[in-house]
Amino acid sequence: MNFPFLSVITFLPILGMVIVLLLNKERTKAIQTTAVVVTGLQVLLAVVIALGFNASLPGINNEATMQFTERLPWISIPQTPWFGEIRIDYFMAIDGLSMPMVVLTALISFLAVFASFSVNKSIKGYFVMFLLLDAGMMGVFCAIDMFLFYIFWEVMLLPMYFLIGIWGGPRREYAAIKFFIYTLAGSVLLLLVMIGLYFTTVDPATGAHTFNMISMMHPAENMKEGLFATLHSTPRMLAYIALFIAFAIKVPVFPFHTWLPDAHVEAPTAISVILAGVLLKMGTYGMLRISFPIFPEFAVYFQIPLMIFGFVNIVYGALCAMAQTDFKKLIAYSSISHMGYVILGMAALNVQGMTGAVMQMFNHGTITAMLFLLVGVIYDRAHTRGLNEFGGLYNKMPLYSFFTVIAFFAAIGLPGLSGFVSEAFVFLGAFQANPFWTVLSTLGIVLGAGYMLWTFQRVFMGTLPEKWEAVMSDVSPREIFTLAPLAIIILFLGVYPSPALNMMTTSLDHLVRFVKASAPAGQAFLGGF
Amino acid sequence: MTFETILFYVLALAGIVSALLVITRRNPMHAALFLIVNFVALAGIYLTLHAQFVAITQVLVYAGAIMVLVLFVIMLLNLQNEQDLFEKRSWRSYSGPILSLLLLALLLRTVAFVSGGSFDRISPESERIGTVANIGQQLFTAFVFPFEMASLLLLAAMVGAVILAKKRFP
Amino acid sequence: MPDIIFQSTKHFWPEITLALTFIAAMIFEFATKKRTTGTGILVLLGLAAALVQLPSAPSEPVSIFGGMYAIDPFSTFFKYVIIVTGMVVVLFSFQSQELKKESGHTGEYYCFIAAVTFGMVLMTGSSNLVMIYLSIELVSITSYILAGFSKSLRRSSEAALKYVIFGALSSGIMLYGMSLIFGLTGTLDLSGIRTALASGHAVTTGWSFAALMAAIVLMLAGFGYKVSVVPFHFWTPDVYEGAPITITAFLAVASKAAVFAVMIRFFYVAFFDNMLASTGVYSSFRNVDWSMILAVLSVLTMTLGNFVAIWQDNLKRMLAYSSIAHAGYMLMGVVVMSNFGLSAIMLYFVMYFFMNLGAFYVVMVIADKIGSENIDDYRGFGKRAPIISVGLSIFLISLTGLPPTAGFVGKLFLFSSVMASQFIWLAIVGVLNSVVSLYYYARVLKNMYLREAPDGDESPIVFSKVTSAVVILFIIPNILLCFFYQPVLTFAQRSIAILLPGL
Repeated sequence: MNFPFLSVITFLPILGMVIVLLLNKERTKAIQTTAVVVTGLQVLLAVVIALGFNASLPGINNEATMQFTERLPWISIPQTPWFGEIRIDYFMAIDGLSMPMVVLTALISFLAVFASFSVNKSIKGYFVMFLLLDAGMMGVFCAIDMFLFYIFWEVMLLPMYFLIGIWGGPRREYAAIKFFIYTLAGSVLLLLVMIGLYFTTVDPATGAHTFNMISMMHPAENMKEGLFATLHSTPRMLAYIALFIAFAIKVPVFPFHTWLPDAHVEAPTAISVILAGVLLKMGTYGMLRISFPIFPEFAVYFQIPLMIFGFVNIVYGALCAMAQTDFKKLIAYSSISHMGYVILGMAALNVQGMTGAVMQMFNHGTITAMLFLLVGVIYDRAHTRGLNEFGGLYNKMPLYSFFTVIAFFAAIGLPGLSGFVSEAFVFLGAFQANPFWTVLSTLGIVLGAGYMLWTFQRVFMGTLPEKWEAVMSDVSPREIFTLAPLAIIILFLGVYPSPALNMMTTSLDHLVRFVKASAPAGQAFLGGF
Repeated sequence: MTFETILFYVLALAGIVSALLVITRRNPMHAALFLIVNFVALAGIYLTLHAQFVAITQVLVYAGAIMVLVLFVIMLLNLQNEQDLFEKRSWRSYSGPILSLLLLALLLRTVAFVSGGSFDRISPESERIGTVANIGQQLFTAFVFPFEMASLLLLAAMVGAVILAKKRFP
Repeated sequence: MPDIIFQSTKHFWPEITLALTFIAAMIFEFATKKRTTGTGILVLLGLAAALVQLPSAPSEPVSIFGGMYAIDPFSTFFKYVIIVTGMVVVLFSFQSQELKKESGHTGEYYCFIAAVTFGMVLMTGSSNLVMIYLSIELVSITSYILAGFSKSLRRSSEAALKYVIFGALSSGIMLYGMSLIFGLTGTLDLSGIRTALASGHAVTTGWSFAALMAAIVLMLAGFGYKVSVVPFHFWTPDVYEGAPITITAFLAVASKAAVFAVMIRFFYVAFFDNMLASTGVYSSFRNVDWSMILAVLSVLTMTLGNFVAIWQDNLKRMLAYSSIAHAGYMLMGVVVMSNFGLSAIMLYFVMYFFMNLGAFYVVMVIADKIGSENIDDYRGFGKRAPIISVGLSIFLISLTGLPPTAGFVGKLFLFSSVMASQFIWLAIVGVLNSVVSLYYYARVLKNMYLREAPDGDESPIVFSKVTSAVVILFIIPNILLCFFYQPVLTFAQRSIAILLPGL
C-alpha cells in the first residue's frame, strides 16, 4: 500500500476542524492560519497527485486502471442464512474524470479561505463548518464506493445550511432552508436508487452484494437478478430519471433551479465561490460518474431530452441574468446558463462534447469563483450590489477593472481565454450529435455577451456617483492574492489547454466508448427532434 | 315439564320484563332498580346452566359493584328534569335501536351456528366447564401464570388509585 | 403441573427480578418515608440486576408456562432496549426539576417505573392472547398514573385523563377482537390459532373470513393505539406534552419497543404460513393480507405525523408528532414480512433509543433552566449554551436520518428492507417523508443558531458538568454508530429468531 494520498487530502480538513475546535474562539488569527495551512496543504497534495497522475489510464469502469486506489474493508457483517454477507468497502480512487475536480476543489477551497477573512461573526464556528464542507466535497470526488459517496454527499448539506443561514444576508433563513430541503429531496432519490443497485449487484469475488460503483457498471457479469438486472426495463428507466432529478437539483437544471439564486444572493462571498465553483459540479460529476456508466442504455435513450434540458438552461439562465439588477443574482443566473453548456456537452455523447463538458466544469469553477470574488470586493466596500448604483469604476479602480475584464470575457467565451476552449469543444461535440438544438443553444453565447457587456458598461463606464468617491479603493493585496491565481489559470488554459485536456481525454474517451458500446443506438426518446 | 324448565321460563320472563321496564321508565332511579332485577334474573339463568362462577360474578360485580356506581352517578348528576333527556332527537337516539337490533341478529346467528339451529338441549360439557371447582382448577394449573400476572396488575392499579386519590401534599 | 412451573421459572428470572423490584421498592417507600432517591436507587439496582441476567437467556426459543410465555432471542433483544431505557429514565429522573416539585410522592414514581418496565418486558414474550391483554393492561394502567404524576400541573392531569379514556376504549376494542379470534378458532394460544386457521377452511371463506379480518383490524386498533399509529394517535400529542418529560421519553422509546415486539409476535406467529430460509421472507397465511393494511397505516402515520409536526411550537409536542412519524417508519419493517425487516426494526430501535432519549434529555434540562419548551425560546441558544445546542442538533439530525449520524444507518436499513421486498412505492413515500421532517427539525436549528436571543442577551446559560457529560455521552453513540454499527446489526440479525411452536 502506497501513501494514502486521497484519504489524506480528504480528511486533512477534518483534522483542521478538530484543531479549530480546540482553539479558543478569541484566537482568530490562529484559527484563520489553521484554515490557510490546511487548505494550502490540500493544494500541494492536489498538485502532487496531479503530477503523479498517469493520464494514459482510462479508469471509469475499469478497476485496475483507477489510480491512487485505496481499498479497505469497512463494514463486514458475516453471512446469515436468509441474507447474504454485508460488505461495505472504504474505496477511494480517481481517474481522468475526477482528477480535474480534485484540483479544482483544492484550489477553490484555498482561495475561499482568504475570501473568508472578511467574516467577523463567530469565526471559530465559521471555519469549523467551512472545513467540514471542504472534506465533504473532496470526498465526493474521490469516493468510488457508492455508500461512501452518499455519506460525503450528505455531509456537505449541514455545513452549507449553517454557512448560509448564520453568515448570510438578510433573507438567509429562507435561502438556507430552501437549499437544504431541495438538495435533501434530491439525495433521498439517490439513496433509493443506491439501495436498489446494491441489492442487484453482486461482487463476483466475494459473492456478496456490493456498493462498488465499478461493479455496478458491469450488469452482464454482476447483475444476475434483482430490481435493476434487466437492461431497458422500466425500473432502470425510473432509476435513471430519479438519479437525473437528484443530480439536476444540484446542477441546477431548469425546473429544479429555484434554490440557486436565493442561496447565492444570501450566502457570504466565500460560500458563493464554493457553491458555484465546486458544489454545482457535483451534479454533473454525479451524472458522468453514476448515471451514464451504470445506466448507459438510458443515457443514450434520453440523449435528446438531455440536450433540450441543456438548451433550456443556457437560454433561460441567460435571459434571467439579463433582467437582474443585483450583481450577485446576475452571476447566479449566468451560472445556470453556463452549467447548461456542461449538460449539452455531456448529452452529445462523444469525446469532443464530453471533454468540453468536463473542461467547462473546471473552467466555470474558476471563472465563476472569480466573478463572485469580484462581486465580494465591491460589496465589502459599498455594502450594496445594485448594478445601477454604480458607474465609472474603471477610473477609480483600474486593477479591479482589469481582473473583471478577464473574468467577463472568459465567461463570454472570448478566444484566448479558458471559457472559449470548453465552449468550443461543447458545441463541436453537440453539433455532431444534434445540429438543431446545438444551433439554438448558440443563442446563449449572444445573450451571454449581451448581459456581460451591458453589466460592464453599467458598472465601469460613465461617471462614478458622488457617494462612492470616498469608499471605493482599488483591490487590496489580499484580494489580488485570491484573484490573481484564477486569472492566471484562465489565461493559461485559454492559450495552452493541453495539460487539462490530456488529464481527462483518455478517461472520457473510454467513458463514451463504453456507454455507446453497452447501449447500441436504437430507438431513442424524442428521437425525431 | 321439569322443575328446571319452569325455573328457566320464570327467570327468562323476569329478565325480559325487567329489561323492558329499564328502558321505558322515565325516572332513572326506577330504571336502575329494574336493571338490578334484570341482573339477578340473568344470574339465575346462569345457575340453571351450571355456571355457578359466572352467576356469582354476575351478582357480585354487576348487581353489586357496577350498580352502586350507576346509582352514584345518577345521584351526583342530580337530574332535575328528566323529561329533557327525551326532547332532543339526534342521530344518537336512532343509533341506539339500530345497534341493538344488530346485536340481536349477531347473537341469534351465533346461537344458531353453535347449536345447529336447535335450542332444546345444553351442551354436556357446560355442566363441567362452568363450575367453581373447574374454574379454580384451571386458574391454578393452565392459567396460573396469567393469574399471578393479573394479581400484580391489580396491585399496581390499586397503588396507583391510592396515589391519584391522595391529597396533593400529604 | 408444578414441574412445568418450576421448569419454566428458571428461564423467568429477569422478569421475577423486575416484579420483586416493584414490590420491594414499594415496601421500601412505605417503610422509609421521604427517602425518594433511595427508592430510585433501589429500582435502578433492580433493573440492573434484571439486565445482567438477560445474556444467560437460552439461545434457542423456549416456550414456558404451558405456552403462555416465550423466551426467545427476539424478545430478549427488546428486553435489553426496554430495561436499558428504564434505567436511563430513572437516571434522568434524579435530575429532573419537574419531579422535584412533586416531592410528596416521587418514591411511588420510581416504583411505577419498575412496574411499567416489568409490564413491557412481559409484553415482549407474551404468546397467548390472555397474556397479551394482561401485559398491555399492566403497562397501560401504570402509564396512566405516571402520565398524570405532576399533579400540580393542570396539563399533566388532563393528559392522564385523556390517556385513560382513549386507553380504555382501545383496550375494549382489542378485547373484542380477541374474543372474535377466540370464537373463530377456539383457542387463545397464538400457535394454536395458527393451527386452527390452517385446518379450518371455514375460517378463510365467507362470513367467518370477514369476521377474521374484522378481528385483525380490531387487534390492530389496540396495538396501533399503543404505538400511536394514525388514526389511533389522538392521545399522543396531549399525553406527551402533558406528562413529565422523563415519562414522555420512556413512552416514546420503551413502550413503542414493547408493542412492536408483541405486535410482530402476534402477526408472525398467528398468521405465519411459510418462510423461505434462503431469503428470509415470510408469507402470510392464506389470503389474510394484513401486511397491506399495515402498509396503508404506515403511510398515513408517517405522513400525518410529519405534516402536523411542522405546525408545532412546543418542542415536546413536536417530538410527540415526530415519534408518531417514526412509528410509521418502523411499521414499514413489519410490512415487508422478512427477517431483514425485523432486523432493520431492531437496529432502528437501538438508534432511536440514542437519538430520542438524547433529544428528550436536552428538552428536559432546558425546560428546567428556562421554564419553557417553546421553540421560539430557544433563540440564541447556539451561543449561550454551545454543548447542549450541539447535542440537540446532532440528535435532531439523527432523527432526520442524515449522515454521519446513527439515524441514517437506521433509516438506511429500514428502507433497504423495503426495497429488498420491492415495496418501492412505500420506500418513496418514506424517503419523501424524511425530507418533510427535515423542515421542522431544522426549525429548531434555525432558532438556536440563525437567530439572536430576543433581547440581545448573550450571557451564557450554564449547565452543570453532569448535564454536559450526559449530553456528550449521548452524542458519541449517535456519531459512532453511523460508522461502526456492525456489532449492533450482527446482534439484531442474531435476534430474529421468534418462537414458532410446532414448526
